[in-house]
Amino acid sequence: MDRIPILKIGSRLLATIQSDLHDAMALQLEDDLAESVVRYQSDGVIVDVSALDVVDSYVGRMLAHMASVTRLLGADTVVVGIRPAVAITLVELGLSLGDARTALTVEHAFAYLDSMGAERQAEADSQSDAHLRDGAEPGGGSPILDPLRLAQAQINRSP
Amino acid sequence: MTPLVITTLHKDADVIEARRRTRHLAERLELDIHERTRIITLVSEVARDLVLSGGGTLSVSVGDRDAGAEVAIHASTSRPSAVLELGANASRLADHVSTDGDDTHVFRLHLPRVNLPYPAAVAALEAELRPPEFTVDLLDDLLHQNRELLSTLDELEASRAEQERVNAELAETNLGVIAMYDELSAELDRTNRGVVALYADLDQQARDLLSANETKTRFLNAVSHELRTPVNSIIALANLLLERADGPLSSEQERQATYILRSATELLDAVNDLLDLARGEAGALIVRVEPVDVRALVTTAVQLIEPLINSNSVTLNTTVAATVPAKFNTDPAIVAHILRNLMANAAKYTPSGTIEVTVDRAEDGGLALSVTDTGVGIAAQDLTRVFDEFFRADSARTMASGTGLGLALAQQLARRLGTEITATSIPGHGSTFAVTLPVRPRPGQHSPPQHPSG
Repeated sequence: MDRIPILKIGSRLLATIQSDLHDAMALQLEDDLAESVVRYQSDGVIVDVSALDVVDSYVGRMLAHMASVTRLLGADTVVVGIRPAVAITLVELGLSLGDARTALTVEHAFAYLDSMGAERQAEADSQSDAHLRDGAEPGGGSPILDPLRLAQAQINRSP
Repeated sequence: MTPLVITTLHKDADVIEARRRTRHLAERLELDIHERTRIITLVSEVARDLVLSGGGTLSVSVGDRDAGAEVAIHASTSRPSAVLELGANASRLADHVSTDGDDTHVFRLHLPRVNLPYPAAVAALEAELRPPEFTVDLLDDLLHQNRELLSTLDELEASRAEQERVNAELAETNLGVIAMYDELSAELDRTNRGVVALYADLDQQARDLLSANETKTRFLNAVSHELRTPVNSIIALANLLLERADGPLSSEQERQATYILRSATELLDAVNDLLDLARGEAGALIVRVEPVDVRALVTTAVQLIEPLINSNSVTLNTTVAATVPAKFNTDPAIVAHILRNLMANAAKYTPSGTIEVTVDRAEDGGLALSVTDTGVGIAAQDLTRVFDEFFRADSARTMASGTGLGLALAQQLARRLGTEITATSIPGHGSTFAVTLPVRPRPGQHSPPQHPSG
């Protein structure tokens, strides 16, 4: 069984999906990430999908599910590197990534997780969640951008 | 419309293959990136639904439509009962969805324009769409790299676990060391307290000894002063008697008066020695260094001692080596005193034979003095104690009267100059007392003596 390597960087985990994703690999990745979050007591998971030119509903659901699971374990999941075409297709599919946050690059994801850490200390969790749902920039000007939101805007503009 | 991609779907891996083929086709059709992604995603959705519904076939064909083109995806399930559930997600990506019979769904995508292949090229495209070796190789490489990365991660994890184990062991060892250190510290503390107590004890003893010594010195001082006055009176009165100041004496009276005079003189000598010793111990003796004519000093000392010697049976020889300098820096009074005491000691215990006084230059530039006699000598066990106050060797007690203070005083004086008198002796054959005067007298310090042997 082939698996996707998970790198531990400080208190964060980084999984880079480099090839077209088998369903079994996706399931394995979900299990591995959940186990690693507990073992390393991580507060953030970054899933790099920049190599994927297709994210279908199965993979999309898997990412959302993964984010929900890690969230219950106390870690935020950030999906980075979604290609614009993939983002548009995800919107057309009507798919949401659920609890998963998104960022353009791994650096942005780290900055986002840092700001979340700082925010957690400053505010109550519920308040910070509400901010994110409202689309407010967390931590006062964090470089976080939501490709889904951008894609939706692009679709709305196109005839 | 000729199907360009036909795939049979049964398992998870077939979905990947369908995507790969569709990806290749979309590239050949030169679709833009958005259309390409849409078609591949659509095929992926349909293919997965087919696999989930128990398998089926999927074909992709391209044709003209009005001004543009159309991609049609035919999905046929091998389980007709599942038809209705097919393509729920895919429908959202398709521009038009229809059914063809009971078991086939058709998803159509409208495209502005495509680079349609000529019919002759269709066969070639079909050949291209077969899994090329290099792709498999690349995928294999990637999978291989992944496996290696995973194994490296496992190794890292193992080494981390090992490191944690070693750290735990180290922490345990540290605790042991700390405990041992505490124990040793406590032990050291106890020992230290013991040592401090011991020091206090020793200090007290030293103070007691010092005080006892001072008391002794004061006592000797007082006794000497009190004794000297009456002894001087006895000597003066005995001299008056012997000078016949009060008329003639009978021979018996003269003999007794002479005894009185001799005894009183010896007593005075003893008292004087005692006083000198007491002064030395009290630290009242001050060393005054000056250039001294050694030859003159020795000559004077010899002349003073000559009356004590029985000139009929004892010969007194003095040898001053030619290398001895004309002047030598030292305290003349102390040196004369030492020499006098050593010679007096020799004279007292040498009934017959020779007394040899030699002065030589020592190797270090100092002055080597020695007094050698052919007297009774000193037993080996007494040799180390002859410089003790009031000590008298057995042989000495039977030989002559004395207080046992002469050598002790001489030694004390030598120490004031920073040197020491040494004694060697062969019982029955004589003794040698030697002292080396240092080039620079260091009052109060003792330096190892250097003297000619014998």
